Amino acid sequence: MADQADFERDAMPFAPQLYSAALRMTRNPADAEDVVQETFLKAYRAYATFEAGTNLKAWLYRILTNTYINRYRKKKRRPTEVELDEVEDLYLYKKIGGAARGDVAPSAEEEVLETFVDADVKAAVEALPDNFRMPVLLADVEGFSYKEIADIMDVPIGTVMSRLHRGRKALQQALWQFAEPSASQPPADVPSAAEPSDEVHNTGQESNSDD
Amino acid sequence: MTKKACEDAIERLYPYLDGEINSYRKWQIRRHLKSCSPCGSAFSFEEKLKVVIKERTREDVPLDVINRLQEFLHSEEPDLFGD
Repeated sequence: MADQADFERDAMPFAPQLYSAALRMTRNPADAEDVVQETFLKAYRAYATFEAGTNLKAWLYRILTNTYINRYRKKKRRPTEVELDEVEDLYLYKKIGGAARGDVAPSAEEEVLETFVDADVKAAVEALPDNFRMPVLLADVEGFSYKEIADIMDVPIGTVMSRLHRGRKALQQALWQFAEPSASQPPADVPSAAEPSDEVHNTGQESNSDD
Repeated sequence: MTKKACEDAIERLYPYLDGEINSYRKWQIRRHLKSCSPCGSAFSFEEKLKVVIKERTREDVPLDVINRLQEFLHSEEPDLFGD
């Protein structure tokens, strides 16, 4: 049994990581902050049920994940299971190799990865449907084991593995779309002319669907 | 290298990179990768991609966010911080 008095010392160091994960889940800072606040409040109130010495990080992520899913599903009535296209193995590697073939060394594919900017990688992760984004986030970004992810998401390990497999391939497809290395680099040293600001006319078209 | 050996290796690509296979399988894959350069460079690419994803999706948390979190928790649960 954990002591509530130790909560701040034990749990607060995870706040930055949880916030970062929440941002990838909610896709915006305000929602991420709300989800993290609710997560910590729930965690504090339930801290007496946490078994001291076990995996606190995974326990916090489980609360975070449930909090996000509950809020998200209430807010947007999206179907819970979104299916993905079938993507071939080594999708990105083959794409990059295909695009660069001919004039480059065999390790050129890896060098292309260096050109991917943070914004593109984040956008690609955020483009994944929930049930595939979660395992990818938990495995690749947070470094959890399959068993831990299964516990956090409350699904069998086999489900974690298949979603991770398909989610990663879909991520590669999204990365290719967002960060496609063009054969001819645009000139980087040309100062951009002041852009005429396009006035956006809001036509006020809002669908008045059922409330 | 036989096509079958490559297929077997690629099939275990992610569990291998995630450290989720037993040591015998790991040894089998390592042996294959040493003798098959196409699979070797594909695995090396995927390994690097995993690092790129981890490193380029991290956010620095604004101090304000942490401060507001502490304020929020304190307002809900006055015993939580300090005194």
